[in-house]
Order: sequence, then C-alpha cells, then structure tokens
Amino acid sequence: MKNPILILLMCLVVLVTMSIVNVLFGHQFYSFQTLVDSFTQYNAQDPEHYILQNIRIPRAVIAILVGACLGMSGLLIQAITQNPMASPCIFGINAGAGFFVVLGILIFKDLSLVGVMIFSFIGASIAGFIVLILANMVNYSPVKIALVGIVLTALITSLTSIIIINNGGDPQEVLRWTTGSLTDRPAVDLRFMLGVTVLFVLVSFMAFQLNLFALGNDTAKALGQNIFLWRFVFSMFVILFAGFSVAIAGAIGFIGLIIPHVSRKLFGQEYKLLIPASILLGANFLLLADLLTRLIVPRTSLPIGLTMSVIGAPFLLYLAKQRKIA
Amino acid sequence: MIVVQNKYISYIFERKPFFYLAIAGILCILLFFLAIALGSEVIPLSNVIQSLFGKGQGTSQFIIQELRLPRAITALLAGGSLAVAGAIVQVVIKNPLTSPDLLGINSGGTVGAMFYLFFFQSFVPFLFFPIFVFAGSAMAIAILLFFLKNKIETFRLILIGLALNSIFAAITTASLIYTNEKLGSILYVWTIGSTYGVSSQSAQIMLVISVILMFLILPLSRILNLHVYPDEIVVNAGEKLPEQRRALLLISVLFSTVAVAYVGPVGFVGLIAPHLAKKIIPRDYFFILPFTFLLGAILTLFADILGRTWNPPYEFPLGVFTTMIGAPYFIYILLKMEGRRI
Repeated sequence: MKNPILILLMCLVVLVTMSIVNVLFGHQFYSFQTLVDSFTQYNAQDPEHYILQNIRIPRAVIAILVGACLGMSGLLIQAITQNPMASPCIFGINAGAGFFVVLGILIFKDLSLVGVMIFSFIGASIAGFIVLILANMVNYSPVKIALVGIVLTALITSLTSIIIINNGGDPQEVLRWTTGSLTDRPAVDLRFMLGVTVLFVLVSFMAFQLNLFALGNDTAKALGQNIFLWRFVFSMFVILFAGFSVAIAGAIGFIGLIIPHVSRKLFGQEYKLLIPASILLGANFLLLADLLTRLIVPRTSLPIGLTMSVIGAPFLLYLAKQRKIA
Repeated sequence: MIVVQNKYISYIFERKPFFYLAIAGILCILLFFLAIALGSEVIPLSNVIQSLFGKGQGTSQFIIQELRLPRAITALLAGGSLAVAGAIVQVVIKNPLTSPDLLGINSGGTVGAMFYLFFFQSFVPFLFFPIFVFAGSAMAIAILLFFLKNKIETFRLILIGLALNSIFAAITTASLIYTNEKLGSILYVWTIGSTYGVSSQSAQIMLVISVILMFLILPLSRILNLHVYPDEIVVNAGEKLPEQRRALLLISVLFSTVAVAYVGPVGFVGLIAPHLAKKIIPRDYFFILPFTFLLGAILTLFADILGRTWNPPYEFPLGVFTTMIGAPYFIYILLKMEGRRI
C-alpha cells in the first residue's frame, strides 16, 4: 500500500459501493435491479420505486454530504488550532448552530431550508469565533481549549432549553437539535451539492497553507505565512461546513474528531491527500454508521448522533492513551 | 484566634472562617424563605414563618407544606451535597477543574436511574431508587479509575470524563426517546435537574442522608487537608493513600447520589462552589466543607427561585440556570490559570 492515490481510489470505490448498499439494505431489502429500474423507468405507482427515490436515496445523499462536510471541518479545525482534540462538536460550534436554528424557527414560524441554513451559519460563526478567541487567550493549550468547548456546549444547550421553554415548547425538543439524526430531514437538492463541491475544490487549492500550519507557528511565520489571515480564512470554511451539516441533520458528533485522525494514519501529513481523504472517509463513515443503526435497531428511527456517541467514546479513550498529545 | 483546650483536645481556630460561615448561613436561610414565599402565588413572609411552625391556615398552609417546602429543602440539599461531592473529588483527584459532572459520575447515576425506570420499576419500590443511582455513579467512577491506573493526568482525566459523559448521555437520550411523550418530557427535565414534583417524603429522606453524610465527612477533614499535598508527602506522613482515596471517593459518590436521585444531575454546582469556597477560606477543610455546602445550596436555591419566577406559568429546570451561572465562571477560572501546568 505504497501509493496514496491508489488508496484514495479505493476509498472512492468503497464509497460508491457503500452508497448502493446503504440504499438497498434496511428495514426492507430491495434488489439492485429495482434500483436501476427506479432510475431508468420510474413508476410513481410502484411503492418500491417511490421509497427508493424519495426516502432511501435522499437520506444517503444527506449522509454523504454531512459526513464529508463534518470530516472536512474537523480536519481544518485540527490543522489551524494544532489540537488533536479539536472538532466542531467538542468546540461547541455544532451547539451554537443548533441554538440559532431553534431561535430562527421560533422567530419565523415557517423557515425554509435556506433560512435554517442562514441561522445555522450565524450560530456556527458566533460559537466558532468565541472558541477561537478564547483558544487564543489560553495559547492554544489542547486541554484548555477542549474544556472551553465542553463548557460552551453546556452553556449553549442551557440557553436553547431556556428559549424553548420560554415559548411554551416541550423542553425535550432540545434533543432534536443536540442529537443529530438523518430521519425526516428535508431533501437536499442539486444546488447544495454543487455548492459544497465548489467549497471542497476551493479548500483543496489552499492545501499548501495547511501544510505550513503543521510546521508550527514559528516556522510558518519564518516561511512567510500570514498566520492570522489564514486562520481566519480556514475558520470561515469550518463554519460553512459545520453550519451546513447542522442545518441539514442537526449536531452529529465525533465524525469531525475521528476522521482527521484516521486520515492522518493512512496518508501522513500531506494536506493535498488529507483533504480528499477526509471527504471520502467522512462520507463512508456516516453511510456505514447509518446503515448499522438501521440494521441493528430496525423499525425505530434511532438518531444517528447516538450511534456516533457510542462509537466515539472508545475513540476518546484511545486518544487518552496517546501520551504525547498532552 | 479561638483556643479550645482541655484534657482531651487542643484546637486553635481562626475567627474569619466562622464569620464567612455565618454570612453564608444567613444568606442561605434568607433564600430558603424566599424560595417558599415566591412562586406563581406570592405568600407573605409572615405567613411563611407561621406555617413553618404549624400555625398557618387554609390554602397557603397546603401550598407551603405540600409543594413549596419539599422543593426548597430538596433544592438546598441537592446543591449542598453536589458541592461537597465536588470538593472531595477535587482534592482526591488533585485537580481544581474536575467535578462529578465533568467526570461523568452524575451521568452514570442518570443511567442507573434509567435502568430502574425501565427494568425494575414494576417490582422494586421507589424507596430503593437511590441505590440504582448510586450503582450507576459507582460504575462510572470505577471505569474512570480503571482507565486512569493511578496516574492522574489532567488531559487523560478530561478525555475519559468526556468519553463516559457521551456514552452515558447517548444511553439516556435513547431511553428518553423510547418512553411515551409525557413521561419522556418529565424525565428530560429531571436530567437537567429540577425540583418539579418532589414529594415531602423525598425531602425527608434526603435530609436524613445528607446529615449522616456530613457527620461522616467532617471528622475526615484532617485527611482531606493532607491529601492536598503531593502523593509522596501523603504516603510519607504514614497515610494509606489508595485506601483513603477509595474511601473518600465513595463518600463523594454518596453525596452526589443524594442529589442526582431526587433532583437530577445538576450541572456546574460541584465545580464552582468548591472553587469559590477554597478561594474565600483557604486550607482547613473542616471549614471549607460546610462553607462549600452552603455556597452550593445558595446557588441551587437561587436557580430554583429563578426557574419558577422567570416567566410563569412556564417552569425552568434549575439546572439550566446553574449552568448559565457556572459555565462563564468556569471559563473565567480557565483563563486565569495561565502559566500553570495544564
């Protein structure tokens, strides 16, 4: 396994296979032929075609997009803070986005998907910048940033509870936004897919700057990098990706934390490879987690955020074993 | 200085701790009366005092005895016990940034409670409910100690706590989703920490257990004073370090169980109350512990009053407000810790 391009291609093949498997398997199994038929000769009367085209495929598309975005935002945030514990979930960015989405829905009763996204971006930016400012104040000490993030998440969740109860809502609604889920989500159309792809390509062109961050602040500065500017630029990307995911699926944790670590294990430190790797692995991972959730706990729609917590907790214990981080 | 000296004991007390304890005590009592007086219907303080001594009349007597008094008592005791639990954990783990909630001990207790509600409720009386909470909390701390392997480092401590919290929260959330909507809603409020619907029987049990626990821990304050120092010094002073550590953690878990079982895993009280107490009264845990208890009680009483009077008829779980107060204070502590070892 010397050739990284080969591994990337394999990831891509796995992604295609995983998507098909994810669409076909579930509470009810559909044959591959039915899937092809539902594209070539769609019959609205056929319940199998209907379910595939209107439930299974949109869900898989959301899983791919959200997984890719979260993997990417995790990679970027770990790069700019040089903190192996960084992720949009632990830093409270997801919670901030969720809070503003709830706020937006309370203010404007019928909020369109674009509206939800705008609020989500606002929330993600506010939480993200608070964390980054505080991170700067504690000199990017990994433990302290992680603690700030945990505490900020608790604070934002409390605020979300307060505004929901204040408007006569059921306090349990908070759970809908604090645990991400792929069930009953609005379908994502072509515009969003295209937008996200463009952003991915844009980031790929900046891989060199990310490589500089990995050299450490002093070296990067000596090589002429404007650290402050690039930190800002990449923070904007983190916020776009995280905000987009929360607007669609709620706050799904741990992908942003795990995927960058796995990518670095497979591809080393070269960000030209790490960027596509995080995208592909993130999408693969969420598709797999979604499939497992549906197969292990059938009939009920267990939120995928819970599966992620169960997968993510042992990963944290693994991180705790890596002494060198502290 | 106050000197107590006779044939058996000889003690020198400073005056200041007594002064601070008195102030905190008065504040706590004041808030306690306010918690009874304020609510959807405001009862004059004179009536409150009358009915507390059994001379009240009519509806206000009923409201006080059956509704407000149990809530005020449980809020006070929950805050106090969580604060003491936090103070003990902070000494034993030797880290001012830990607390039963950050380490996952409280969320472990929550999982124990869910276990009771789903599998044992039908044939085990509610009286034994705290045992399940205790089992959950004890399990959490056992896992924590297993992964720490006696080498306590902040980074690993926080990661393991985070891991425990996330897995326990996932189990709790899944249980909440599978219950019917009404029960799920009540349970969810409890997982934030609320005095909603506590019975006077619960208040009595809490009172008895917390008093017993306080009498248990106060004589041990000498050991706590010693555990502040590095491990080698404790061992050199002739103390049995691992045994004492386990015993102290056990008492701490008992304290947090009292609170979690009846009011819920209230956030941040166990973190900031001990921190604040140690700032005001340094050194002697014989004073720090009761002072911490009072500070925690003040915090939860205040949060409870706020939750009931903020925007009636809606009621906010008190845990929401302790977090709103505690989280910023915690970030402030973190920022001020510049230059220390973490």
